[in-house]
Amino acid sequence: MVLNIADLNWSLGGGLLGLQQQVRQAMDGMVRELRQSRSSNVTITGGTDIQFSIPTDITPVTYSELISYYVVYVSDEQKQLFREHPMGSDPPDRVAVANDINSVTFCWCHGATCATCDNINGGSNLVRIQLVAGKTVRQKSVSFSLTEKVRLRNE
Amino acid sequence: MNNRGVALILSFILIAVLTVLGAASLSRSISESRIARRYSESTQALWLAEAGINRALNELRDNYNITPGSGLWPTTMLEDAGRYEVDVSVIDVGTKWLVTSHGCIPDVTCNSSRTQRIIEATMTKAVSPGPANFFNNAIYTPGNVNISGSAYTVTGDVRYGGTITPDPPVNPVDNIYDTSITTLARFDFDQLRAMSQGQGNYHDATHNPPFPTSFWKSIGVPNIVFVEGDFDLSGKKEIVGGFVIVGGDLLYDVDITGNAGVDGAIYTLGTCSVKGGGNALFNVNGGIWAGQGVTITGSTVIEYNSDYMNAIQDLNLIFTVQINNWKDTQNSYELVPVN
Repeated sequence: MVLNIADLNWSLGGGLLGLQQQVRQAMDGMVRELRQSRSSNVTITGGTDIQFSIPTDITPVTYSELISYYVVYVSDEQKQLFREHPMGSDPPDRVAVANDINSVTFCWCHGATCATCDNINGGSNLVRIQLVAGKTVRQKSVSFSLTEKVRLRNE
Repeated sequence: MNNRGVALILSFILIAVLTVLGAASLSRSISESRIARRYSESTQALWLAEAGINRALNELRDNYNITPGSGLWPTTMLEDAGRYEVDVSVIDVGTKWLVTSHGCIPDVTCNSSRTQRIIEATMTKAVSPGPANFFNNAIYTPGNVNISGSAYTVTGDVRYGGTITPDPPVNPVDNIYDTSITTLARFDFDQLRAMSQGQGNYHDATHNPPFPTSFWKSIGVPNIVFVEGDFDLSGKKEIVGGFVIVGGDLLYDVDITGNAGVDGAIYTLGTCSVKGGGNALFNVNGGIWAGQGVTITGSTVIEYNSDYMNAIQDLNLIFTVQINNWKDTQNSYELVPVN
């Protein structure tokens, strides 16, 4: 009995740790890319899909083709956060940057388009990203969410 | 059958298995520890490099004729755990620089540091009276211009560095796509604050005292209206006169709705939204500078006023050094190798 409980907790802890690592790595990558973008190059669609470009050189400045992040639900067991670059290719040129992602939401206040953003100043050049991950470990669900705000460095 | 010695062999096997398991566990622990340290140091190095960029910005603002070089201003930070160093090279004498900032862990010369993050930035300074065509437009923005409907009137040039939507606009406007506008040239906001305070037109977050209603303070001298915070004239039947500066170095927005208007020019590093809806003669009579783009909705009337713009230009205002482009040189999905 004691060993069973310990084993279950060990598995749940391991599962949660895995989720945290996935989410943190994905968030870190997104933040580092998005930080380099500029406001006029960012588009958020439906709060769940973001497109932007980043500088590839600054003397003179040239920008990359569009980069996009979004979640694809293949099944309950396969929900992945994808990075697509260049955006719009057919078939999509994309890689999964995290597994077990239930949702990603992007919020950006830009002028009047600020409906879903709480506590973000309209002109502060901030993008808020929220990642929610979850999975089932031995019939128990574990979840983890992480929110970060990024200030775009290129105005 | 002689079974003597089996226990010894089994013991050896068990010890071997436990040793392998222990070694694997130890190896993984060390590996995880190194990954965590690598991540931590990489993040620290980034913020050190950011500090270096800010140092260079302030040094250039103090003296934009500084001698370029490598390894400038080595500064120890993070309680002696790291440092930044900055390389500055001149692109255009006195007006444009390439700044490369190195954030380094530990606090040793960056060439021999264990972890390093590098940020590149171009910094520019407009020369008074301002960039080319800065004072010639009804709208001037490095961002996007979005226009809704067809009831608007814009008299004068619309100069932008982003996009215009729809393209072409429903009602013809003199729209000019200008690739030279990457960021909005920054005035010396301390100078403008002081001028505004001297005229009694300085507005803190409470927006007191009342705004002037005429562009002219006296003959040939415009009112300089400095507003700390958003400039929101929505729902007001109010005409504000003067050269209105919104937020200074901070990004605040302008919102003009209905019969409200500005008899003069507006400058903001944020966005400017104008939604005309009444029967006002104008919503803006002068011009708009907006760093983050302009939105026009409804029966908005925006007019370029050369008399007002010439008066502002004749003030010979000082421009300051600003970051024009910013780039993290490291791939976003790689960490800096740690020895």
